[in-house]
Amino acid sequence: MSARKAEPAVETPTRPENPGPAEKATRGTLKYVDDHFGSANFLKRSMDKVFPDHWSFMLGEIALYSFVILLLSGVYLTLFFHASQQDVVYNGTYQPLRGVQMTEAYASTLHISFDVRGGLLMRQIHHWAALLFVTSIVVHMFRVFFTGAYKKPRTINWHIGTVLMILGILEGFCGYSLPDDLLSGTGLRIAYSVAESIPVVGTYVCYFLFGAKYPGTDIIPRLFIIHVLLIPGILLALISAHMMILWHQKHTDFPGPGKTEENVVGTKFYPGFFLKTNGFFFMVFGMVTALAAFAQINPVWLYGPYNAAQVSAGSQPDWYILFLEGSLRLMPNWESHIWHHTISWNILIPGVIIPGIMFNLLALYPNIEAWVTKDKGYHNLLDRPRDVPVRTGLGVMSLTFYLVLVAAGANDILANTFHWSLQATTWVLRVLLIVLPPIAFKLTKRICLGLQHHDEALLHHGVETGIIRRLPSGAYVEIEEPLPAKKAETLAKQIGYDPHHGHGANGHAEITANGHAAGHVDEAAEGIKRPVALVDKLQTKLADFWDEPRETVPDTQPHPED
Amino acid sequence: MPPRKRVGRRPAAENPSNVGERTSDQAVTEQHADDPREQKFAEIQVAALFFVGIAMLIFFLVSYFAISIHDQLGQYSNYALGGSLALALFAIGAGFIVWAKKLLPHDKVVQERHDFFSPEAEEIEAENTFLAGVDDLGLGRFKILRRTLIGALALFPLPLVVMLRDLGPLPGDSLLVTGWAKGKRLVDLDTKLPVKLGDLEIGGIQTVMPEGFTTVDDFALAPTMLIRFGPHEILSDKEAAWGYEGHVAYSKICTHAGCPISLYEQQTHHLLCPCHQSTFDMSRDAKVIFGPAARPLPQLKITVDSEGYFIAEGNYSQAVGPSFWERR
Amino acid sequence: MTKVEPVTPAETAEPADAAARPRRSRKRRIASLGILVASLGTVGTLYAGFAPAASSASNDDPAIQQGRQLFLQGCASCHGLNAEGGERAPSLVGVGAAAVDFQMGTGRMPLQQHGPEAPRKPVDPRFTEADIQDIAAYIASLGAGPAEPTDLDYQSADVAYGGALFRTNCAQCHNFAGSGGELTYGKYAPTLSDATPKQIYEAMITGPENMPVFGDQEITPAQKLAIIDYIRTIKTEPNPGGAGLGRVGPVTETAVAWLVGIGGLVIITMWIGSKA
Repeated sequence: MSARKAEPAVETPTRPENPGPAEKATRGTLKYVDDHFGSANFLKRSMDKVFPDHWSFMLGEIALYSFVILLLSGVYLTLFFHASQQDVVYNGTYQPLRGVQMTEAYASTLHISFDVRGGLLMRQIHHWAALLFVTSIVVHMFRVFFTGAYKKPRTINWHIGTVLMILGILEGFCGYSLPDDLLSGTGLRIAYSVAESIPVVGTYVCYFLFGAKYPGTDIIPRLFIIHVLLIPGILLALISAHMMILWHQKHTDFPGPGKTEENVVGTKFYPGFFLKTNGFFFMVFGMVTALAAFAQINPVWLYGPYNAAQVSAGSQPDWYILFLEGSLRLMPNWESHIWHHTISWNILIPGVIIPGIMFNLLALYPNIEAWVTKDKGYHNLLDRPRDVPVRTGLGVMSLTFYLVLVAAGANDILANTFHWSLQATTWVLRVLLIVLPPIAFKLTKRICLGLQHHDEALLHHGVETGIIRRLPSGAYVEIEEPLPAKKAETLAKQIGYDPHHGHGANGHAEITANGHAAGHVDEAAEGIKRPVALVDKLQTKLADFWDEPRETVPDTQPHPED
Repeated sequence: MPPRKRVGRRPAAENPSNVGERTSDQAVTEQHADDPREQKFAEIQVAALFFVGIAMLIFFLVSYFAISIHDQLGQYSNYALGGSLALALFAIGAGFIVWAKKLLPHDKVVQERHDFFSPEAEEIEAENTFLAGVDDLGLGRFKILRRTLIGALALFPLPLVVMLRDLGPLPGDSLLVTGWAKGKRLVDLDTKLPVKLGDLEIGGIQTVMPEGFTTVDDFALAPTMLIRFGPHEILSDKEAAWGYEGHVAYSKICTHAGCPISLYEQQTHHLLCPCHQSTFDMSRDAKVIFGPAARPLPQLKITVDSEGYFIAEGNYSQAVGPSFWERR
Repeated sequence: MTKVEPVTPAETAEPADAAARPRRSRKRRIASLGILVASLGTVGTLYAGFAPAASSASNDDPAIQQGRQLFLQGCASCHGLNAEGGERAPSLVGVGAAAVDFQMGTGRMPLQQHGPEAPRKPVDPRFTEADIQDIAAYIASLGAGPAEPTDLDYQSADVAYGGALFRTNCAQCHNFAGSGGELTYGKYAPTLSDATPKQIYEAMITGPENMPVFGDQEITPAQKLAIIDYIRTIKTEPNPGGAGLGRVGPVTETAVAWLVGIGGLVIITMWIGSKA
């Protein structure tokens, strides 16, 4: 069988001569739909749509399917959950809480857990799926970031993705707060305090949000409607937009033999990809269910009902809030008193300003990079992380910063587990938060450059065979075997080396542009000559930083392909 | 307009890159077994996986009715239901994937990309259509229309925003209200019984509330710790004076983010917040010695009434809990 | 010695359903274990008290004499020849028998090395249960202090009331499930999983190390039994949702979500993406 073209040569299509029941049914259904929507062409093109096969392109699907599972399990839970802060006395099955006064929200959560068959399973499916939803969004984002998949024309889809992640975090926090247990109530109180710290309007925001002085009786019903209607509605709309844009723009792919900026190579949506992706849906659902069956999550009956005067040691939020918790923990105790007013920097900076900067930088990163590199070209082939050392370095740097915050969010658990002093742990993390990210940047960049060096050596000199030959002149040389042709081609494409045209005169400009954006080189050259304003100066500085010359291997041996 | 690079022009069939593609495709296709025996084997594999799915789903249904949710707090039920459902889902999913991998043709398909942007002529047409519409609407000519339109549209969202006003009351001075007042007895949080001088041992700590506390309003800011020190353990004259015979009362609400703190170490007199680890020295006016809290915990002035019960001398002299803008 | 009566508040009528029953029988087993331990101790004390021709429970009491000898061998190097304390250790005058039983019964004393916290460890093999009772008797003779509790009949206490008291007074340091928690500068509140009912009771009345003292006027003996009952209940009850993940809250859940959840799914995507 030879490669099939998605767009076939022009020939008149025919129907089978003796249609069986399947053909007849298909024909009837499609005709009915087409008579109403004129959809035959769209349907055909959709079924023929090609999806590349690399495993890392399925990470976003985990998020999509977790979302489906969340909708299904969430609807089930709403059938039993009472979003009310009315006080009731628990009288259900769970002995250690019988006779205890609690809110209806907490009591109904206990009811779901102990008196509805499969209710606990459903609660745990919902919670594990929520963790996987946010986690897979983040992992998907890593893939998109480190391969440069956000570049034009996919920048707007990156923005949508960032909003999806932030909404996912908010949605998770709202849902986590609904059972009104002691742990989530503590989290809600911290959220209240963060809102309260906002200058001028803080207390107003809090009173409008909670409907009264904390805790009031309105917050759970309000969070409920935000959690089950408002945010899911927006998520649904944005996920649809995210998918439609992906569908329209087609998927990116890694460079390789036969892959160009102008094509997509892979499996057709129908039936191959359709079968795999459906199978993957069941796998994701299976994983979530397996976790729900064998790993207990959010045991609210152990936490107890929320009580503003009680707290548990080691109070932590779910992981996606942990970085905020960590930044609150690491912050020095700064507070200003100006004209009878208080500004609590100790909450404002770690709770509002730092996450604000982090999310904005994340969302706008593609635009910043495009501005610095003056790259206005279209990109469909991905970069390998090593081939764009500055971006990879910046990514690892940010990740390091984030991970130190996450660790700080669990500093008491860390101290307890490893028998460290809590205060010493906090101090070490404070130092690491400042010191580690730049080191991570330098180190990552160096590793990337090293790997590039290695790749070029492979391409130009081939693989070392370990066989030593003596030359007639008496000198000893090691025989180097050229890479297999396919491997060499892939590698050449990956590092942006075009064997047909050879290295550019300077070598470097072509490589940083990764051979993709022809427009880039000229414009960068132009930019240097132009009279510079302040912004342009900054741009030039950053561009120099970005394009720091890479080490090239002197081309001593003739290339095997030449 | 910057020069844009066009990708995916209707390609020449002789696109050289496709040559390599064909060869690599060939290789993949050859690996794929057209051998009917191997196909049969693959079919049995997939069918076996689907059968496991069927069996596990039946097991799920049976255990839903057969296993009591009250045995071991429902642990058996959760294992049986979750385990069978998970296995069923894994088996069905694996069935789909093995089916796709072993029974479907493996040829790679090459699809050309289309342009990401429109031909310039179309862009110009779109611009012109829009501008013609603006011209027809006459927004440039009818000045009064334009201004009133802007006014109307600007006011339109206001009712919706104003209606949010009743979401909650205005804070006013309510953040200073804690439920404590002169003469209010200190009662235990759980038993609601008043605390008598001598109830607390040296090195003891108790969570107390103002007597008669019930309302939700009181609850968040009222929690207070009553701590008893040994002789000469209080190192601040003011702290000792505001207390009574070694007993002192401090707000339990952290001045950082409002967590109720009472991780009290009776030998070091350190008090730790479990949320963000602010540490207070309770023998020195609850001074902050570590962590993000900026202010000491407010102290409640207490004394003992004629019957020997602890009473408050008044409300807290400053706002309790985390800082906010209006706080003086 | 204090005798402790159980509490049965009116609002906790026993539920008639079957779910309550297994818990009860398990509790009996635990109770009988507790009684066994307590009676062993009592036998030891009685033996020490009655075997020699007893004169009176004064300082000439042979148990006290024996205890003093043991104290001089094992404890006096730090606590002083007359238990008056020293630079490295506090005075034991007035700490009571309960403190001795707790500190030595949990292996915390004799201390192996100085640190922020005296960790729980196996009981020093040099001291038998009877020896500890003798030392306790000696320390108790030095000054009035909390005595060891007997008849810890917590089975009929109100477990839910105990839970509320636990969350107000204990959870902030020992965590919501008694898994322990971190304190300042290397100190920590230990897990309650190894503590016997008697040890929990003794800890409350004596306030070992940095733990606050919860006297009988603050938390009545009946309330203490309710707390003990709650701790025993949640310690022995199953985790209905599967593995308990250490019962420390969301941090371990995070690890499972990343390592098992996403890790497993990534492996599956690699399988799907791999060539047949």
